[in-house]
Amino acid sequence: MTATDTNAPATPNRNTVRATERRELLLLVGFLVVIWAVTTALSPRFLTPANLKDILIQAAPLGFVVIGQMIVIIVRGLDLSVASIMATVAVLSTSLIDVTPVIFAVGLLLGALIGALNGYLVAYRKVTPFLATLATMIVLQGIRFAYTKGAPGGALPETFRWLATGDIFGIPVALIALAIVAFAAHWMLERSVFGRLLKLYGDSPDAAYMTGAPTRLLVVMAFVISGVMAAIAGLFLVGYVGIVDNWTGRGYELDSIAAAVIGGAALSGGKGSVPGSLLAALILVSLFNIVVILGLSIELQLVIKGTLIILAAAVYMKRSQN
Amino acid sequence: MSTLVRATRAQPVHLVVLALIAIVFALGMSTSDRFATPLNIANVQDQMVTLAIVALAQTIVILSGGIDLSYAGALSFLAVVFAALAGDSGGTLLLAMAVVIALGVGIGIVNGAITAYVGVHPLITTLGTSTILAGAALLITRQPSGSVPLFFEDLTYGRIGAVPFGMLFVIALYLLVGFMLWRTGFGTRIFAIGDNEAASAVSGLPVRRTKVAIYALSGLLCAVAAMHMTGRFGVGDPRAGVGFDLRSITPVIVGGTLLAGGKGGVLGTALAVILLALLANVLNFMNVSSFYQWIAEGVIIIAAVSFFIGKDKS
Amino acid sequence: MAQPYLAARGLNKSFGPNEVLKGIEFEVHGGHAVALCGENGAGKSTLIKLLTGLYTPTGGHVEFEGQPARWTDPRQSLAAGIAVVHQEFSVLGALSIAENIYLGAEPRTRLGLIDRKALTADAQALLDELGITLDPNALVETLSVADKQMVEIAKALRSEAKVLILDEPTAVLSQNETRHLFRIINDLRAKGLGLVYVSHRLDEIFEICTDITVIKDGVVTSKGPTADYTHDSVVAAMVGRELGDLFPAKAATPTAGEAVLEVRDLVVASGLPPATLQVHAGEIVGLAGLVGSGRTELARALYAGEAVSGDVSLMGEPMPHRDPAGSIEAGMLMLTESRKDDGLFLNSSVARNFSATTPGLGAHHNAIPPGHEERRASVLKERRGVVVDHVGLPISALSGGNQQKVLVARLLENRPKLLILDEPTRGVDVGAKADIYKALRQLADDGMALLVISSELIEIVGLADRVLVMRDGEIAKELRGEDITEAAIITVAAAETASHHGVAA
Repeated sequence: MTATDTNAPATPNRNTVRATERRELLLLVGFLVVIWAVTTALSPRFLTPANLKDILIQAAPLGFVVIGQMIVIIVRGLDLSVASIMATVAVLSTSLIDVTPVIFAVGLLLGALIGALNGYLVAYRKVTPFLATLATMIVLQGIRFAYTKGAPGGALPETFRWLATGDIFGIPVALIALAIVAFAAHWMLERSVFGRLLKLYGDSPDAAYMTGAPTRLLVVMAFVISGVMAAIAGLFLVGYVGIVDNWTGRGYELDSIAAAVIGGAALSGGKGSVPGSLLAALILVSLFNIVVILGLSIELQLVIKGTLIILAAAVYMKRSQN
Repeated sequence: MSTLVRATRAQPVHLVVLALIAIVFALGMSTSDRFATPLNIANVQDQMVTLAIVALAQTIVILSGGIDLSYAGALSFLAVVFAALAGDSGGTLLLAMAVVIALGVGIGIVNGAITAYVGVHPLITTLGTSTILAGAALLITRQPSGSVPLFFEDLTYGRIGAVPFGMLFVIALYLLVGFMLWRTGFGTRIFAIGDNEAASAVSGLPVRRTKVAIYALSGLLCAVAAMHMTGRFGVGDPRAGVGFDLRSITPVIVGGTLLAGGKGGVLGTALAVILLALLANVLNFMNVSSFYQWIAEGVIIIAAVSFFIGKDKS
Repeated sequence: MAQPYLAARGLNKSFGPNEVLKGIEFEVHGGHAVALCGENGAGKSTLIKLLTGLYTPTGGHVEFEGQPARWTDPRQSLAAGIAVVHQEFSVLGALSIAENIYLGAEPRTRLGLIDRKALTADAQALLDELGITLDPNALVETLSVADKQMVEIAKALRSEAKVLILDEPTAVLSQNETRHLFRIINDLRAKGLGLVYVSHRLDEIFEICTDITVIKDGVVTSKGPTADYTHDSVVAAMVGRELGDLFPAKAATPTAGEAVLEVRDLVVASGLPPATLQVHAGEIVGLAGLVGSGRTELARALYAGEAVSGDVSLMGEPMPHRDPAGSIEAGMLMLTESRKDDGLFLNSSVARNFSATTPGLGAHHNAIPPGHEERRASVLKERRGVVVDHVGLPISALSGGNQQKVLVARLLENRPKLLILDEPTRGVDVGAKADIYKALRQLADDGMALLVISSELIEIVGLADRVLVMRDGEIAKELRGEDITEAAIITVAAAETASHHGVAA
């Protein structure tokens, strides 16, 4: 089939699925611009290259996690184990060896295996995603604490730290990595057959099965992707902080769900985008930064975050009802 | 089916949980002479009061097909408010109780209203309110602060023989909620909505109002748990509730209540709370670190859920 | 004649610019059973919703016992004595039969608590009265579909009803269960209740209804005592044209080509007799039988591999382990019975629904270029007769007929050798039906093999070159050519068979 314009849709329609998605994305961009603009007006310290760079670097780990979380939510799942995967992967892989590429290889493999276990429980054992990943979360927590006897230690190799904190031509390595992963994930969701099937499955699992989609494989793969994303995030996060901690990534499970939902994913499945998720992650991290810059109580960001989660979900709800 | 079985919603899995309780108990007896003493048994009960109350609240919500993740923030917030207001006299205590109960119910109403009337998934709604309340608790105080009247603190430590007052209170709450589920229209509506919301609406049930009432009741029980907890600590801890959001779910599921709603009851939750508390206590006696207890908890969840696989599909 | 219990007087209903009902005049008298006939989409459901207060009319009014009734909530009409048995079950599996029957109206003690003893006793008394032998304390999820229907009826009759509305009550019932329901209906009518009976099954209407009202396109086209009607005159009033016009001419010489599908000794579920059948290139084989006779199960066994044993081969190639993906790969595609449940992706665009079985078609290396989907889907408007402003719109915005056309077009993208179509025209208007019939015949003429399942005998008779009639999970008879008549099919399909337990015979 040739890509001639003669067959292209004639008039753009406001109510097409794509137009609706685009409007939701614009809403997020608008929101981010507004909070940045307001903060800039209130404090000169906000809109500086150094501060923006800080925000972006801090947003990177959440960015990885939310991409995985969003893909799991697309297939009507939920991954509560992401934070536990982050810490477990960081603890185990950095304790085994101090060669950076091997740390990453081991870590990613571990993340994929844990994701596969989640996927197996959900797709083959028919355990509710909420419970399957809750159990995985708790078990992993026990394993890593038992393994480290509660106190992980050990120095991180220099190259490992550089990956999380260093620059290439002034661009943080972590961001370059996130950009590559994000482009790949976006392409996969929007342009590949696999991504098409993921979204169709989320829209209607029964219809997907009857139209020949490999339904179980799709669910397992979504969880594997989430596990790998969490593993990458965990490694970058400990590299950034410089200390391996048993509670690395604590709170990321709920933050990633929040970001995915604010970014337009629906727990009912079938909906979600990489740009939306990343924008939402950026909004959440910006809020934290803004609260600090404006000299407000840090806890205030929790209040704002909670309000934002509910408001975003309510707005999407209203839109889908219209 | 005998009326007793129907009224208590007893299930075969409860026998399994009972057997596990017996096994864990026997294990405890064989591990240490100090296990089966009134002191330790009272201790185990004290340990489970807070969890028992929030798990009871969670049971009601899950039976209706919802979920309430707001306990983490709500417990912290209510504990801080309670300790800030309770002062040192009976008068201030009563005022604090009234305020905390009103706030707890209010939180529940907000959760229920957003879920039922706006249509936001309860997981998202309650995650949002929990975050807000966690922030509010820390905005009030970053360190444990406030106080409760000494007599109230003593009350939460009081016991009759090997049974703490708190435990008697918990037993009363479970009986009350169990009775409510069996003998009131509200109780029937909880099961009906959890089983099939659309069919309940077609049958003329006030689905939305009922949902609001369910979350309000959940908030009320959360307030009760917060007051007991604060009495035990003697201060209001702004992190008191951390972890109770997810921890409250485990006993409900292990007790045989379906996460999808409509099936289960408070008997199973009670048994599961006892099992989990005993297990933690015995593992402590065996010098098994809490790290392995986590592993055990996760495995128990999967085992319990696997037990119901196949029954869940209809 | 005495005053009607319930009546519609010049009832109008519009949704926006869309006028769904126009000047409806309709009466139900005590002791009468009125059949409400009409095609899907004619306005029957809307009329019922107006009569029960679920909708408010935009013109005219509902009359109850001679007085205008201004109901705004079904609970008000229920209180007045209008009971409805809905098409979709509203019974709850996790509750007992008694709890279901009295849901929201449980007998109370003086303290306002549910009186459990009275609840069981009342339910028992009601079940006895209706001749239903079920334990009121049994959980509804343990009941058969037919018994659930009985609970549904008991629930509707829990309070003193004057009018009972039954919306397609026999759709899920076996022959025996239907007989039992008819006895109940006749008893109720004898007691003086007024009944409204909605059904697509003309035989049933002629058996138990005293009056007939036909609606077409929101207007009452005909009404009167049943004795004044014949099957054909009802159908003519419903569709407004001769049925023969809907169907394209059949192939002159049936059993044209080679065998595309060969099924030998297929056991769908343990305990059922093995099925053997063939479908040839260029022919449309109809699979007829009552609901519950095993038609859909046989089709799913072929397509999704839900079978115990037996051999299935397509174009001579054996298909040992089948799932939908494998069947599609081999060239067997299926249109499922329920669009909404396992056919449509309701939140996705028309274009994406269209390409769901072939997302990568025409794309290199599984990479789908921007706009590719929409360009492919333009064929829907150009050649498949789908009416839609823009193929990027969510498919939920389309009418039932257009949705069905998209689904059929989707199957054709795979270039199937065999098409299985389960109720291809359910919930589709007459115009779209004719289009679909024409398209199916064209496919057969082009050499495809088609297996069509339908509950509408007219459809089977008008469309099929050969008919397999199923009864109790078994292919009971094969009909060909001139032998294919409604009478011949129903004689085989409805022959008395083993009774079903649970319902008192």
